[in-house]
Amino acid sequence: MSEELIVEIKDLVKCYSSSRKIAVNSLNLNIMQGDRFGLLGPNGTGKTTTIKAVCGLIRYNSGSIRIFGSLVPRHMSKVKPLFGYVPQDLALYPTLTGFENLLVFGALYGIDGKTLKSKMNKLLENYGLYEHRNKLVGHYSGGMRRRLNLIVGIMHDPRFLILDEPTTGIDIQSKKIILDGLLDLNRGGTTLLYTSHDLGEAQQLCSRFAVLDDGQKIFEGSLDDAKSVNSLEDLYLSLTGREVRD
Amino acid sequence: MIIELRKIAALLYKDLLVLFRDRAGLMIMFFMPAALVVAITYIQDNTFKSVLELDVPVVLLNKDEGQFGLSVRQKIEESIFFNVTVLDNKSEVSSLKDDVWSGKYMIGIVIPENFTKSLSDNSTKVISRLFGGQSLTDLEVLDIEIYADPSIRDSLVNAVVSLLREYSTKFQMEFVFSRIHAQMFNFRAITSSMGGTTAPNIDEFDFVNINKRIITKGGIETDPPNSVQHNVPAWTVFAIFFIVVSFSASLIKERDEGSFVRLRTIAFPSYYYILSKAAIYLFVCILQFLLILCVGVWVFSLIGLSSFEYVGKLMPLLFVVVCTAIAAIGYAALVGGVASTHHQATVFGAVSIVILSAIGGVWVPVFAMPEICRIISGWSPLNWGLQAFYDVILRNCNVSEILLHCYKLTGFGVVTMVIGSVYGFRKSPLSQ
Ligand SMILES: Nc1ncnc2c1ncn2[C@@H]1O[C@H](COP(=O)(O)OP(=O)(O)O)[C@@H](O)[C@H]1O
Ligand SMILES: [Mg+2]
Repeated sequence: MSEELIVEIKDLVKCYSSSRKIAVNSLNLNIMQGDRFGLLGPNGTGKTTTIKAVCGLIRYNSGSIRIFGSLVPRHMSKVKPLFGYVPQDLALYPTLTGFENLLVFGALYGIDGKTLKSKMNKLLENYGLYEHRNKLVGHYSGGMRRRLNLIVGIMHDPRFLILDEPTTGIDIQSKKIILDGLLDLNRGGTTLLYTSHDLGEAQQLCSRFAVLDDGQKIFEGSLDDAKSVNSLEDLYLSLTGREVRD
Repeated sequence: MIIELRKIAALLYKDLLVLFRDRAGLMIMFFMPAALVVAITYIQDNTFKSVLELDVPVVLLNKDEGQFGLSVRQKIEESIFFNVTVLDNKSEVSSLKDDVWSGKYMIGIVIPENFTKSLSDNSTKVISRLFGGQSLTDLEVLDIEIYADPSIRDSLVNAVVSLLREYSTKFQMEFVFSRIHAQMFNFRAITSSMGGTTAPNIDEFDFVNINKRIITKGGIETDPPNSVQHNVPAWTVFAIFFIVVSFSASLIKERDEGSFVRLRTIAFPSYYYILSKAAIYLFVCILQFLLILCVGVWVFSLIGLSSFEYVGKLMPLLFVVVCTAIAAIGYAALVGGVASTHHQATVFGAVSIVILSAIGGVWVPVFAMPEICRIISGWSPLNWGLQAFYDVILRNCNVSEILLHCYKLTGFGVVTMVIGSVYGFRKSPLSQ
């Protein structure tokens, strides 16, 4: 059976005018239906920039991005209902409760009242937030916020889920819940695009990955390619060098 | 359609919750203006005149050709408070009234023909009746008319009244004493004619009436408004514009917290976002107005000030509130869109509103400002709002007569809202 092409990035170049920094340089990527695609690399190599360009949040200088065949950001309105976005910065209202946050975003996704209620309860239950649903998000722990951040990104059952460092700075338990949840979604047919600099985690989650350095792709392959070397970490260090990054 | 409505409802719900959980913001929007209106009115009611109330434009129509008119004219021209224009003595009273109504002058004074001569004649009569032991009650009363713009502080009109009173009394006394001098040799007659009864106090024989008239719509004259009628509109306008602080902060917080970025990846028209906030803050503005209205009507009478009068004007007032609120919301969207940080928006928002309100005549009436400020005053949206309120409250105008101010307010609001939103949308992704 022929795999569907979900994301097609061609010769993407993004240069921030304010810092004159070429954040992404001639990037080519194809993500197929069912992939768990990891975009890896040291800090400041353009992972978030790539993700934002894919989500239509920034304009890029040249190249093209297509999601489900539609050009981004020109046909963004066609694409919007089909993907979910879990940003690196928590995108929640701290003065609203967990429940209220979900209610607002759920209604904005256009989910109707009854479906929304049952879906909210199920997701809150699955991600261990049900008893905290009436607390203000501002009073949540880091792990709880990350989990809620993920729930908001998946509540409209997107076919394609984009996650920017979804597990940064949280405890092992929260991390496990999130990774299990993502694997679960993938089994259900959701394609994942995810960034991280945590290689152990990437090794658990990804089926395919690309390594970026200084805005350029320096490696792309499947986990098997990585296994031919000792571990992802060795591969990564041999690719990106050992000096500290900004 | 239902889905679209649900999306709008979700945004309204979100904005309402965010607003009502922001206690500090609520205090700023509701408590502060209410406290200000009480404090300022109370202070103004108890102290006369600020040093700044200078150079009031006054128009004088002196039909008297005698000494009285001349002296009054000289005295007013010398005064540092007034900037006098003297009309040709052939001018009509009605044209003077029109000029006051149109706002060209704040005070108009009319001294009638032959006023000096009448004063003198009256004095002669006083003396002869005094000496003849007759009653003074049926003497002819002389009138001086003062026309005032309703937006002027009553204290200033009273300054003119007392000046006229001082001169009329002075002239009367001089005439009376010169007659007495002439009758010196009849002195004995005076004492005998009084026959032991207490001598009448000459000050009480004040046969000059100085009539204060406030010009409103169609030249209709009313009682002078008190400072409450000035302060309630002034601080309502101020309060409405002060939502800029809270509104722009909420825009920036949403941008900083990242929720704005997430909203942009969700499928709904982007103008829903700003219109939802606008609707919530419009509601806030109406509440602010109702609160200040309640303070003006009930709290003022509790602390011994006269209460705010608005009977029959609630609808036009609400109309003005809505137009002013649109201007304020647009301005807030602009501040929130252009500012990069929460801090910038709060400080710039607050300071610019204080400045615009000062220029606009909220703190000091426009006519009392230096020339240059008077010119820029017309550029302050707070001035348009204030003028619209004064037209309704003080000049009894109806909605159709204040449309120009309202067009300006809404036009300003719409333009700034569009510019601010475009800026905000451009800025948000790059700021991270
Ligand atoms: N808004 C921005 N303006 C200017 N430069 C930026 C902006 N965002 C990111 N950059 C720069 O672009 C480069 C890539 O950043 P980013 O994509 O966030 O990296 P990563 O997510 O891989 O850590 C960095 O050098 C960063 O400093
Ligand atoms: Mg990043």
